[in-house]
Amino acid sequence: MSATAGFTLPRQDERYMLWQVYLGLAVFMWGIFAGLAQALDRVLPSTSTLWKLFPGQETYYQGLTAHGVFLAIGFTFAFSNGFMLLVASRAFERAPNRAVNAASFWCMTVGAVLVAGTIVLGKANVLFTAYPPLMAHPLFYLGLVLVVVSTWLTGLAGALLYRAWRRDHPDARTPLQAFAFLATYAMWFIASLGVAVEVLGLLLPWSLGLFDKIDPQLARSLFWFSGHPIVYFWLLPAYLSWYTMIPRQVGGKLLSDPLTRLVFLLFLLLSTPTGLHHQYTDPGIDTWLKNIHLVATMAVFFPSMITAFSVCAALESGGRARGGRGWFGWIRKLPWDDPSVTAQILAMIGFTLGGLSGLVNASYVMNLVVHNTAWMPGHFHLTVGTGVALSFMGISYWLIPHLTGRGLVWRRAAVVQAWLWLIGVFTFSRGQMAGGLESLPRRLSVSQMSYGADIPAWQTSHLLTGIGGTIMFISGLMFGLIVLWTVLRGPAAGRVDMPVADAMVHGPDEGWPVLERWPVWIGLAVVLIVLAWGPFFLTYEWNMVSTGVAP
Amino acid sequence: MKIDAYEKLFLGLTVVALACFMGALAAAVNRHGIRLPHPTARVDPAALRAAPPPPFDQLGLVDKGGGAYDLNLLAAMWQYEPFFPDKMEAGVRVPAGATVTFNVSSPDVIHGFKIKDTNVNVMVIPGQVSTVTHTFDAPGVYTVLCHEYCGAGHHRMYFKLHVDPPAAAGADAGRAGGES
Repeated sequence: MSATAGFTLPRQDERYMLWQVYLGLAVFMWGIFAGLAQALDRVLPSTSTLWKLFPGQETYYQGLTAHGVFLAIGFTFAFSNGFMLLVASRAFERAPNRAVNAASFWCMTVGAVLVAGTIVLGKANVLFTAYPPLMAHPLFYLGLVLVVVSTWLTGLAGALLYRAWRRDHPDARTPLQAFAFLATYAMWFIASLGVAVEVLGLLLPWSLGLFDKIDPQLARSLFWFSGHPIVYFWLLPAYLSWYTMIPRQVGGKLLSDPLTRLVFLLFLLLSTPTGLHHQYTDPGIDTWLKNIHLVATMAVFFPSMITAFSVCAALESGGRARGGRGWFGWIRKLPWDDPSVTAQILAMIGFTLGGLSGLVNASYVMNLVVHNTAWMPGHFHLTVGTGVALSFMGISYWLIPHLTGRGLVWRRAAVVQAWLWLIGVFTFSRGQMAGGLESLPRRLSVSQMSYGADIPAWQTSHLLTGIGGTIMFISGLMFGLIVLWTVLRGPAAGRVDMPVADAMVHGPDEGWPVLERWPVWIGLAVVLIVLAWGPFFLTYEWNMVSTGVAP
Repeated sequence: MKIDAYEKLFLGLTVVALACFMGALAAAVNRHGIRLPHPTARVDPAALRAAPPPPFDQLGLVDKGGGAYDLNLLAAMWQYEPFFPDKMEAGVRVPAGATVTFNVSSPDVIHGFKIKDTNVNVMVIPGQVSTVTHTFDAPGVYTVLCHEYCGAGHHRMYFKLHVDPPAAAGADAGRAGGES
């Protein structure tokens, strides 16, 4: 049953994956360093000499651009590319096409250099959303294109693996982990077409001067076509780990293989018809269109609730197998001394609160209370900033030993690191959300702001955000040092194997055969996207009126 | 595919919860009249300064009579004109009970428009006119702020809207207001 027994991935193929993971982690360290400056901006005056310690961050917004772009796009994409392709290769028991794998790595590297370079030189102070008519250097947009192309190449490498495997196994069920890879990258490929059209069709030629004027409302909608499903592209690699690895790591059973597949397929179907809920307050979009996306957004809550049940059930079965008794006794019996498990369970706790706060954001007119306030960073530091980032840290605690053959150093510090992150993000998000409910805007330099000193609730918010963000940075720094020391000085302990949850209550054979029919699911996904986005793109009249403005 | 009884119950409750949320939203929209912004008009951003079309030919507060006002604003880098930096704190005064229609548009980049302690929250996107209406029943000082990144001076973009108590119109309304 184990998909990995007896198969060894050639070292050269692994190396591209390992280096893509390293690149992701390096970008992560840079991103959280920029994040520290944001946290300190809440509690230090703008005249402090401490700001000189942050090179490449001449202004708050330059640092904020680095923070958002490096963490939300660089870290997540590069880490997922390396991690997910490794999982797919092991599950299919095949080496990926080496040229495609190498091209993915080099696209990511060159893209990261272009994006980071333009940001550090102050040529791209446009933040992660890069809304025109704020204009960045063309090389910034080109770098973003390469980073996205890198994810397409990794998806292609996985698809080629599937084709070759299917030829040899015409009637078999796709290995579960490989199935999760395929659903994730299929979803993202379709979803990323919006931002591809935005950057290649509008932003890049416009920044090159091929045309003068651009439509900011249209560009926003193309961005959010991809901008909501991107959160599931961040999240699904973590879900893969929670569903198909964590049960093994805690000694429990995966509840249902077919239901797991269905969840990934539901994300393929429902991720993209939701983007307009980021534009509830846009003046140029009709409310009936916003209504459609409200319904789809509520629907996408459903697979996450299945996940909550399944993942808890797997944890409980592990805790009981380890001797846990009673309603809650199994919780104490979980392997809390294993940093990989602890980090991911804490990530799930953070993500639960993040997901629930996301329901508030999605709730149509209730969005008026929180839209573009500090509530939002409070929300997404719990989801992508903890559910995903802390899971990736937990995954790294076996992945780095697996790929390097070095034993993990300082295990106890790694457990402390995970708890610190959760304490930090709870403090941070409590501050941000409380401020947001009092209309404190997001994406704003607090140390320089010229108003708000007369609003007491904001002062509490700044303090908690500053303290929480600093704790998160300390935790992230500990993580970076543990990984670095493992790579450089870890004991040559032999390879830790990749966890595969092959113990299941309901196995793959119980699933409907249609779960394997990709044309059906991809076709359905396209139909839903056409239904949700078609009316907007068909009825929207272009309004190319804005010339570029330097931020 | 087999789904266990507990899980069916859990998913059933999820569906019930989502249905309740949607019901609550329908009530908020239809019974309480809370609405999202929607398209009203388009405008050429370059014309806003050169040859402003109505209503932007008359920036600031316009008394329409009967307690109704228009407040026409240019959201620009980095002030809501006509409230330039020396006028941001003084802002604008209206009496309690005033119904104010805000018409806001941008001659440069994307801005935001949010009024603390109200449901007024709208993006200001070049080429579009953002129109929202709010009735100010509670006297106090409302902070109006830009909540979308709009360049290096984003953190300086605000003004104050003073709602005077009905009896003491013209009295000191500079004290902190709102229900915070």
